[in-house]
Amino acid sequence: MTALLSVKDLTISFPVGRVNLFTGHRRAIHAVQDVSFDIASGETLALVGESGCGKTTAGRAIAGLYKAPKGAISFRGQDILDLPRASRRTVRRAIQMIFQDPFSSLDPRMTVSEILSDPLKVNGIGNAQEIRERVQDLIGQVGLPADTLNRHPHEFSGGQRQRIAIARALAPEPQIVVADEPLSALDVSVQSQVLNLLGALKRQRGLSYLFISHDLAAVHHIADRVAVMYLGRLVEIAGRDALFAAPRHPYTQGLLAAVPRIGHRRRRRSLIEGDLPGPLAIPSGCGFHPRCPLAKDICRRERPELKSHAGDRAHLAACHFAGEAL
Amino acid sequence: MVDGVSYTIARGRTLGVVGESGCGKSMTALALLGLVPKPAHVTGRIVVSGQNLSGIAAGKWPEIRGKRIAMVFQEPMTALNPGMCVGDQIGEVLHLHESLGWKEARERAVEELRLVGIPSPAERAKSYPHQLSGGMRQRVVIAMALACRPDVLIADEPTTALDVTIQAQILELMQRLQDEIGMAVQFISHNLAVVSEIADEVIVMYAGQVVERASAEELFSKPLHPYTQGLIATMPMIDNRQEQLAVIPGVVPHLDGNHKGCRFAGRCHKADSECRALVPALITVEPAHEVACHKARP
Amino acid sequence: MFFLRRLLGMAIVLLAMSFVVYGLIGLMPGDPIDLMVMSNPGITAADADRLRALYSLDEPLVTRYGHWLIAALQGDFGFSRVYAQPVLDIIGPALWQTTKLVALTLVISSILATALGILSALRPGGKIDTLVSFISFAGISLPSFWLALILILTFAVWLGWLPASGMGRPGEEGFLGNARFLILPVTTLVIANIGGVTRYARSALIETLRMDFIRTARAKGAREPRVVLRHGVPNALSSVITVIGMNFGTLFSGALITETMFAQRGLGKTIYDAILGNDYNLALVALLFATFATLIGNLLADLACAWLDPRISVI
Repeated sequence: MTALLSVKDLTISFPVGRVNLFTGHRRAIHAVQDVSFDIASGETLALVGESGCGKTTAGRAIAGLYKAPKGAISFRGQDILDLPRASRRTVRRAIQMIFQDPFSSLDPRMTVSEILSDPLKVNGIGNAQEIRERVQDLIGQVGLPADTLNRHPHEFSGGQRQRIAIARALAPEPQIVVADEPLSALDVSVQSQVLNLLGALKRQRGLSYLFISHDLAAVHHIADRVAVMYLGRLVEIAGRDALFAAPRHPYTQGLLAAVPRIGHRRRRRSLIEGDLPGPLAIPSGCGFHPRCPLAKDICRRERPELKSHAGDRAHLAACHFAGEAL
Repeated sequence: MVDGVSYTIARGRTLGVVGESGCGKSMTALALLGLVPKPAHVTGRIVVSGQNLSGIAAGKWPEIRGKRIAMVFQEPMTALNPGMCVGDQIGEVLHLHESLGWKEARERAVEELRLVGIPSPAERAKSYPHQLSGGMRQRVVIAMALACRPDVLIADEPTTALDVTIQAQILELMQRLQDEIGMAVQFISHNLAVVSEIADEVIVMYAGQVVERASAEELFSKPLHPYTQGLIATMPMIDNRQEQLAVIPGVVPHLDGNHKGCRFAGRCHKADSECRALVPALITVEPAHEVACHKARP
Repeated sequence: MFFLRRLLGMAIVLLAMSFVVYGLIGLMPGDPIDLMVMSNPGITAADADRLRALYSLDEPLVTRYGHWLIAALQGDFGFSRVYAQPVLDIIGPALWQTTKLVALTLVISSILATALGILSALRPGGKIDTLVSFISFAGISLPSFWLALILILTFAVWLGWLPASGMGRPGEEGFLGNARFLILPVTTLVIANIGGVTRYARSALIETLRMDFIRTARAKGAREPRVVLRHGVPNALSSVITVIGMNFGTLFSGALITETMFAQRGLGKTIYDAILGNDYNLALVALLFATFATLIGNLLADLACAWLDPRISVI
């Protein structure tokens, strides 16, 4: 299976603070560091982790929202960071994004019809008649009535707006959709509607998703594979069932143990002590060692590589002790 | 907005209040503190440890708040005064209710910070909220709420703004403190899984009314109201993965004063003419299990 | 670090300001020698050229500015053409007079405006709020020359309690000595200044009182006065102080009408007269001092904000 999207050593830094008078440089925080993964055609990869772990930054870089990240992002074997401007646009069309907040991601002055036809016009797809038909088709596919088109975003509930945002993302016929926390602004009873819609669209169109979320239950529902990030780095990546049944990285284990589940009445649920370190104080060695119940000396000194441990070649973990019996 | 809500919580027990945004769960909490914003008004009775609070004069409320009934809020960043160090914010409660001088109040505040598991509490007491992480801030809010050992703690979505590992820490902390202090807890959340883990008893609210009440185990294993059933079925479960999730069709209705019948009828697959005409009363259908539904007779 | 950067920034603003003003004056048609020629027909063109060379007026503007700047940096700001005195000797007393006016106005109007703002914000739309709003808008919209006239008429002409204008009598110098002369101009400035600050304090406090931590303070059992004064006001105050800091500049150079009405030889009046009288150097230096005072005022306001709000750091 060849990868549809391949991310290699993606690193994104943001300068912070003031220019140093002596070196002329500013300090940089590495929001994402050396992140590599593939997404196959028709596959959903979930990117999970807590706030500040870099998952949103990575997703935005893949959707082309940052200039010049380091590393390589290739689509169908073509490095899209290296493309000349003209051909970049055609590749960019293939990767679209859905944002977390459907209240701020839709222009309040545009009608739904304008919102949906805009990406078509920008990409020069079809004449006026074709665009009209396409837009009507799209709104039906996300389960909204056709009269939605003449109204403005503020007339809709959060769930309906997220449907509109999904329709907009689908308009240029993408092959990959980056969905950044698409559920977290929605009510519980609406979340399942959006999850079902995403699942149905994937089956109908053979879409691939990069599903960014902190909600592990939703991730378990929708993802084929799961990548876990901590402090900008990938700490574990595996197939869904392998990751949820036998997580190898202590952070993943702690994350899963912390997820509240219906019917689990218990007193002890936090395996992970302490707080996330700030982005300017990344610990030495393994970034997780200050919070890790298993940390030994080597963890403070050496950063563990992301590699497979015993058996499953598709299950990678970045922990010195991931190979040991759990 | 909120209509005919009744419940009791025993000392040392936790009542979970579940519902979607706008169901009235937060408003119910503010009513317990006498803080319902104008022009809304509150009728009914609030009794804490045998004392009826509903009739008391407005000037007496400050003696109750923070002392008998305390509250923990959703956003620990905005719930704390940005211009006051956290030790003073905790000390203020003690100063107000236990007539401690500021010096003693500050010393006690350090003890309270230690109680909620904040490392080096004496230094942290001098920190301002923006210097603390989200989890630490919520610990400060909890310390502030529990400083006077209240009879009742209302926690309004206390972990919603937090990351999942921090949420687990805060839930553990709240359970430990409940064991030590013995207060009754009203835990308000939209997150069914959190409530199922922490609550002894649960009420489910829909559009300002209680639609079901039962012990947590009973409610999550045998939900009787179609809304509760729907809510649980819509949740993706790690332990039991379904290809297709159930959905509750439609949206929460915008209610005006003269709504007839069951408020959930418009979204309910069991609804018939009876449901649309008559408001179902909350009745006991099984021991300690109440439901407000015409179709949920056992 | 922040403080040093601010001081550096102030120096740059003053430098740029001096260059722009010097340049604008230099580009104006006619120079001091032209004025001399006009007033004295006996001066020949050759005399004028010699005079220009004597005063270095024949050199390019930038060179002249350079000479001026070097002298100014050494504390020599030059002479006033009209008064034939060093400009500092004229600006010094004017600056002191204006500082008294501005300082008194700022202190009184800030306290009053904050108090009125708090009263308004407690019950937005209530009776007190309506009354305070009326007073504020009256203060904003009344022209100060009219207000000054009314005050002079009432307190100096009819009641005879206060002097109508001037800055003090001989033998009555000193701050208290001429305090009587300051009452009316300060009152005029306070009334003109108070409206905007009151409106601002009101909206800042209303906004603050809607915040979550105010609800927390109530839930703690704090009573309403404590909620407002201990939790609301300090958090609203930092934005009010920023506005007061901005008013500083307007007051310092813009109190012209009030200074004229009450015959107060302040900075505003000095600048105005210097420009009208083609006293370029005096105008230039006086403007620079007004700018400097404004920058200091803003710096003080920022320091006060940082002191009130721990999230702002100045070190």
